[in-house]
Amino acid sequence: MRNRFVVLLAMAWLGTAHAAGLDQPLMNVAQEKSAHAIFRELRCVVCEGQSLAESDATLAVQMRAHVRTLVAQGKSEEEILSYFRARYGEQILLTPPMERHTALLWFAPLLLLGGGSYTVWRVTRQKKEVPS
Amino acid sequence: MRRFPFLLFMVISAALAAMLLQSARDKNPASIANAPFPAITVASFDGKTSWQPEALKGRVTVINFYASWCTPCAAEMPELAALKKQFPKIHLAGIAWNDDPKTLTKWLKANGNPFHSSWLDAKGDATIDLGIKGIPETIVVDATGAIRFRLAGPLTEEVRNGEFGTLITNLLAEAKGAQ
Repeated sequence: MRNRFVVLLAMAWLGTAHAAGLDQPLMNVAQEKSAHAIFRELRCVVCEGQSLAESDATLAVQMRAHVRTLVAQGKSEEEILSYFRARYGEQILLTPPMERHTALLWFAPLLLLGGGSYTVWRVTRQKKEVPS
Repeated sequence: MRRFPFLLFMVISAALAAMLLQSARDKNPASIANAPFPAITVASFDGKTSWQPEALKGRVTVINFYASWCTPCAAEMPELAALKKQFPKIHLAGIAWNDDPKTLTKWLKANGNPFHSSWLDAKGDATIDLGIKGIPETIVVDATGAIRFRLAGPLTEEVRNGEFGTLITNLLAEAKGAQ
C-alpha cells in the first residue's frame, strides 16, 4: 500500500518537465477547442479531484497529447470518451453516464432530499399537534 | 410509516455502497480476462526496432511496465529475474514508461537486467492504451495474444509462488498443447 502511494506520488510529480513538450496545442483551432472540451470531461487518474485540463501530472499531460491525436484523427468526442472509459472504467468520466446501474447516483440526492424534507415536515407537524 | 424515511435512507445507503463496491471491482476494464493485447506503439531504446504484435503469438509473454525513477520497480527486478529462472520458456519483456534510454541502460546494468527484450514508451501511448495508472504493472499474455492476468504493483515472491506462478504453469502447458 505504501509502495503504491510512493508510485502514485512519483507518477504525479516526477518527469513533468520530460512530458511538458507533449502538451502542444493543435494547429486547427476548432480541433483544439474540441480537445479542451474533452479534457474537462476526463478525470486525472493519478490526482485527487482534478480534470485532465487542470492537472500537470505526467500521465495527464500524456493523456492530453493522446486526446489531441485522436481528435486530429477525426474521432468524435463520444468515441474518445468511450476509448478512455474502456481502458480506465467509468471513474475516468467526470460526468457519470445515465445508465441503469448509475441511476441511483443521479437520483440519490433527490431521494435523500425528499426523505429529509418529509422527516422535517413530520417532526414539525408532530410538534404542532402536541397540546399546549 | 414513521420509520419510512429512516428505511429509505438505509436502502439508499446500502445501494450506494453496493455500487461503490461494484465500481471498485470494475476498476480496470482492460484487465478483463481474454481481452486481446492491443497493438501498442513502443520502440527499442535505440529507436531502430518497433514492437511487433506477432511476436506475442506462440509463446507466453510477461510484460512489465517500469521506470528507472520508480523505487518499487528497482526492488522488483530480482523477483523478475527469479521468474525468468523459474519459467525459462516465457518471454519477459520490459516496457519503460516516461524515461530516458541512456539512464535506463545504466539503471538496468546496475539492477540486473531481467528482460529478454526492452522497450521504451516515450509518450505514454502504450501505457494509456492498456489503461495503466501506476507502475510497476505486470501483464501476462497467453500464446494466442490474449491478456490473462494483470498485476498492479510489484511482483513479490509470495505472488510468484501463488496464483501468478500457477497461471504461468497452466499457460505454458496450454501453449505446448496447442503446438
